[in-house]
Amino acid sequence: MTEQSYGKITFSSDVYGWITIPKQASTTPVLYLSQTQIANYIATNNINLNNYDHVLLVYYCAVDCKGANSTVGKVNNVVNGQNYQLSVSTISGSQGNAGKYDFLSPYYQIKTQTSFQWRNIDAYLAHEFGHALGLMHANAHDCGNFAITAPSGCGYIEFGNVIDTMGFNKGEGLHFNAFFKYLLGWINPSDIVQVNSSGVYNLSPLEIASGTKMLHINQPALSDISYDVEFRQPIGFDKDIALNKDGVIIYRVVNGPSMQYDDAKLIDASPTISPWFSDTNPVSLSQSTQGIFKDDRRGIKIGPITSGPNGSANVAVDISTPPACMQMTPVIGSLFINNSASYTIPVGVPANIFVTAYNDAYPTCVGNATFVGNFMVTGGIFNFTQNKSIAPEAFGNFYTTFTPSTVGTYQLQFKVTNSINNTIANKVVYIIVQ
Amino acid sequence: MNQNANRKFKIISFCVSFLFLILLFSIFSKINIKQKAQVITAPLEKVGTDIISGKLEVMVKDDFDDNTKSGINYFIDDGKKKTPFILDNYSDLKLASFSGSTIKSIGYYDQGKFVGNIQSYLVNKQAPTNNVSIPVNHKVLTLLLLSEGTSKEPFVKSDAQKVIWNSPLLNL
Repeated sequence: MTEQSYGKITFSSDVYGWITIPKQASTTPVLYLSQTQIANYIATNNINLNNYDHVLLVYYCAVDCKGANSTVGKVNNVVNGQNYQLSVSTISGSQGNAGKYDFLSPYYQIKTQTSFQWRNIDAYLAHEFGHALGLMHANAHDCGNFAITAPSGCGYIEFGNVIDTMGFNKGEGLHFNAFFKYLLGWINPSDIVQVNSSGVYNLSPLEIASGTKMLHINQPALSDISYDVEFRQPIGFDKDIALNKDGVIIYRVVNGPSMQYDDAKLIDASPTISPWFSDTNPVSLSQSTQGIFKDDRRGIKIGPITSGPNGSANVAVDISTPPACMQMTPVIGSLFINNSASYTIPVGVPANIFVTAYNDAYPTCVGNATFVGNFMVTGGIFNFTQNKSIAPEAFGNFYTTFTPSTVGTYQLQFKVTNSINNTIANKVVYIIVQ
Repeated sequence: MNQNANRKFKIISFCVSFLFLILLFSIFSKINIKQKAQVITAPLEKVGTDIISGKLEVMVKDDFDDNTKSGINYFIDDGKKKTPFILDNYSDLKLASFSGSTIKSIGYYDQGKFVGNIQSYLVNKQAPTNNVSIPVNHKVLTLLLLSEGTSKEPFVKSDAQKVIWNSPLLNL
């Protein structure tokens, strides 16, 4: 972590093992040790857990061991009757699958060979130690063909930041994003510029220690959404980002009570119709195409990008008066029954029905709208109404429980009404009761 | 007579043993039922309005083949037990008043509106974290574990320091 923390943190370790996990009575191999077995090993070897911040368990087996897990930050661990604050991370590898999950094989997710050695074990450890430091995944805000549009047209993608070790990364950009670095204390708040008016702002590459690392762009008339902007260059462990993802990277930020509680998700500033993870186009704003990112609902434009001094970038930002309030027709999202999008349920058993409705009203609308949601099953055998107060650009979750008494196929209609402008949306699904 | 008495004794012994087994089975069945009953299955409505206090703990499972198979599990540790609960974009859940922390109120979504990022709380549980002015060494205990039947270790223990702790990731 030395490079991306600008030398602020280092890791070191004491290593024990290999510890053989014995087979049980049969020939079936046991893949993992129990917590009690680990505690016993620690006691037997007089390991003082007070000397450590983190625990790393490295598992290796003959076949089919893969993946990893970690606590996020430190948690309480009671070992041999004493409580320790430690993060606990696990990585697993195996000999099988033609070396696919072998620790020392090149990282199998890499679609283009990196210009330096990056093995499975490196990828696993870099990601899990991010969790150990307290980071969640680096995610994305996907609006399909658009860089940004109304909330109902967008979705969130777990792991979606393809140029961040905490995302689903292909070995191109490996640094954590600027917001994560700010959370970890690696970027000083003085290296973040709060942008509240139009102008041209300079950004230094995220990979080097000096200069402005992040723009935090706000529409002063609104407070809910900001845009964070960072500048990524092919330097150090970001060397292979040059393949197609370097440049100015934009994050949609849902503002928390203060910046440290923000939630920043990657935006594809050069969107295509391709699904998120198979889109090989840049996610950045390209200097060469003079691209401009627009959030019309907030009167924010970012771009074009021009070269600044000493390898920096100049970012033009335009902030104008946002458009007046416009109420919209509700939009209904996916409907789930018992957490599933297939609607076959057993007779006589209560089924949980869950559906989300979006209030796509412009962010300049003041006050919440009451959404009236109604669930109705064929023939009036079930009728349930629920009200939700939903803010502009937010969503409401409607849920109920339906217990079918006879076998058959039933039509379930969910109707939601925006009580401000009396617009209605409907969704109909068919339930098979067996 | 002796043979009959012996037979009767065996039959009675068998019946007593059988009844004892039934009694044992019954006791264990009740224990199992009791344990199953302790599983927390809060109805959605209840989850939607609950304010939960305690220390937030998060465990992430990563599947590098398929991001949809990765999972995030949330727990509240109230000092006595770790209780799992739902916390995702679909929960109208707001968390408040973490004990042992300067953060008095933190949340995720409340009635579909973002409240705050729990990640800040999780990062701040590290010590030291923000405003690191001098290099801070994070000390790690590494345990290497090999499932019996695996034909060879991927690297010998003496190489572990080099393979893991001098690996490129440390420079990243």
